[in-house]
Amino acid sequence: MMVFDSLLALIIAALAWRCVTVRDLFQAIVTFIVLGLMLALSWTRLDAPDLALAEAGIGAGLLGVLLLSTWRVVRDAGPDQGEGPPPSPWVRTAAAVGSIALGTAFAVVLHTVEVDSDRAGGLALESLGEAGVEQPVTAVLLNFRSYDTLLELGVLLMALIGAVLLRSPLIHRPAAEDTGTESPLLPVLVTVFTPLVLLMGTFLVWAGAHSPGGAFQGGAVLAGAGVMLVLGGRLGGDAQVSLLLRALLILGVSVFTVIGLLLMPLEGAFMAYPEGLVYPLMVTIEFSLALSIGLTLLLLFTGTNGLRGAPA
Amino acid sequence: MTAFLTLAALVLLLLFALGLVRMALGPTRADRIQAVQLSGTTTVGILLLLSEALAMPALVHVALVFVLFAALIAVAFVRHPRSQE
Repeated sequence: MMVFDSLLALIIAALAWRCVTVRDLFQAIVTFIVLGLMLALSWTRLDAPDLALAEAGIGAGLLGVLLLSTWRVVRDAGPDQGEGPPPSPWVRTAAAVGSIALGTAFAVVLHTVEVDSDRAGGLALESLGEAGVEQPVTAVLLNFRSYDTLLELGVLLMALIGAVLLRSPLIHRPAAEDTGTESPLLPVLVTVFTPLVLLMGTFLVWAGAHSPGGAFQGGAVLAGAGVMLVLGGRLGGDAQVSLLLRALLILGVSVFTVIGLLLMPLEGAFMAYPEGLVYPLMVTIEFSLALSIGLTLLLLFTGTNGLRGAPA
Repeated sequence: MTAFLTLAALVLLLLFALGLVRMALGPTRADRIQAVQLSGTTTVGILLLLSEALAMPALVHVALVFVLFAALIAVAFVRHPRSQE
């Protein structure tokens, strides 16, 4: 296993190096996607399958597709993004020395950090029995620190609003060009794969209670299904946002908050769940969160306010 | 058995590194995307082997997600092909 880990670390370092040094934008994107694959492998070697799932869905998958689409837009925009003159050797040396110093400082500090089992991690694992779900990561996200998770979702919503405000330069090609795919394989692929991706996303959300998975990973895979439909021309961005879409976007935050508030008279604290009801409540919250996260990611991909069905 | 599975995973990782050569050489973009698809398939193989060797059944889910997103990346690449390449 030692050899495997060393080789993995070597490949990751080489890929990361190539990703930032290669001149061609397309090659950099391709290298980044493959780097995501290797990072997912390294997370599994570090006993963190949850992070491997997140890396697979968001890092390598969704981000790779987003970068490929962005590359198209940048290339179609014409050759006007000429590079300026390269920075002077002094600037480059200063940047290199600074980066090495920062990296060394991080390595030294992280090396001296002592893992204390009395800290939050150990406490969380000890009180897992009270959480209502078997999966430690889900228990921490939705029960022990649910307040933080709620605020994170708020951040995600703000990110979407910010991206939509800035969207105009990166908007996708008009629908007429999007549907101009001539390959007869594409419609079949989209038809066959979209239900599978949806199934996998739903499964991951549900599985979050007892094995790695959960709202974030499941939501990312659900967004992947939407992206598949957009790429296949069955779904497109729209400038108008429907009431239903808005409701779905805030569904996660609303359900999370409302459940937390409604149970206050029973338990006496915000977001305290009564014993016995924890599991159904968590699953409800997980699914509403996943729907909102998936839609948010999909809208970040299309870069539009709303969605519309296929132009017939 | 675990030793054998680990060895097989190691061999796959070596092959993965070989596949990266094609990705770096190209020469066309289609070659590079093919190399990405190949490395995706190899990663799925490694994950399946590791899930047995390390007794982590959740890795099968990771592998499944990779399979589905590999198709997505292929679709993202071929969307409205242009003739000037």
